[in-house]
Amino acid sequence: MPIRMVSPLSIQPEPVSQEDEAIRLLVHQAIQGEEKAWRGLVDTYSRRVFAMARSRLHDDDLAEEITQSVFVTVATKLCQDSYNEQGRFEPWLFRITMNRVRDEFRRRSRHARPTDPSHLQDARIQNAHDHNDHEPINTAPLRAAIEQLNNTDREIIELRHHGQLTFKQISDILNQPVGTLLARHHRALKKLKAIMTPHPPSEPSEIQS
Amino acid sequence: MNDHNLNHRDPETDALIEQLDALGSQNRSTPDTGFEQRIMDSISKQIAPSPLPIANAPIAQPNFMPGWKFNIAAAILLVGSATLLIWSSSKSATLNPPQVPQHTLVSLEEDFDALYDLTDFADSLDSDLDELNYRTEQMHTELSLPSILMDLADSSLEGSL
Repeated sequence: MPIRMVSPLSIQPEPVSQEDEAIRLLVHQAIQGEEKAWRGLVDTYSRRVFAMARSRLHDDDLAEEITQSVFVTVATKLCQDSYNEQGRFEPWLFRITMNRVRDEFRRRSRHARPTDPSHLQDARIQNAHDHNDHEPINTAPLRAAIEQLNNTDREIIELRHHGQLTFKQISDILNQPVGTLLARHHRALKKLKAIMTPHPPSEPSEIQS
Repeated sequence: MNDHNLNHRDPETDALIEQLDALGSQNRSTPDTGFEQRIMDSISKQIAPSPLPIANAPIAQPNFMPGWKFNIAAAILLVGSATLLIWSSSKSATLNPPQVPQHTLVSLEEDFDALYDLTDFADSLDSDLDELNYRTEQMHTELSLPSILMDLADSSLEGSL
């Protein structure tokens, strides 16, 4: 039996999963103008896009508005036949989402009044109480902790857990190696845990020192 | 999450990952049941088929005659019209009296001009001949004069002797 020599540098084509193939077919049908395909895309992705926007903006109406804007952009590009992201629909969709959310976040930041850190802490507590009113589980501390992450860590957390993207897809969106993203994700988790862990009361001697 | 196994499982962070997933699920379930329909409504303008599908519309063909028959008929019409044009031009040529070709008159005129030139040349030749005759006579006269003088000299010499 002949031995097949495989170069360590040879690039193997990525296997296309059934899920990827189904999405590709759905996108192709959507380009053809099939309403059923569009409904499939909306059903699959609209709530994930909404979750990304809501996590950053804390406003349901604004998050829905951004979701509509994202899908209008997607529909326009697909119907104009200017979509050329072969087999990378999800990274493309969430890149559009991230750009919209960033733009809106910057716009709101420009118009925001400077806030005293003590007021910010009060707002977080109030925010936690607000979420307690209608959420089955208390996620307010986690939300408040996410707020304290830097943008890069926060984007990875949101893309991963709100957008439900794989690390490979996040890698396509952020143009970073998967290994780097795994390390950053782990570091972000550690930060969140550190933020959420109540600090032990300081020793009086430490305070004096 | 289908690739959680890519991440290094850490018992310290597993509980946090579950909380993050629960938070994401909560965010995704926030919109009401009409959310998807509102998104569909917002993109209905973009995905609606064009009212004038110009690119896909079949070109209307006249059904009274197939394409190849139409081509043959056009060729026959073209050849017939060309023949008619040639025939009509030849017929009009026979109906109108033929005019004297200009080149005949021109050649005759040139011949007369040549004859006149030749006559002028002959006249000038006559005058030249007359002049030559005159000069010949004059020379002859001059040549005959010394002989007379010599005759005179001879006679005078003989007289002196």
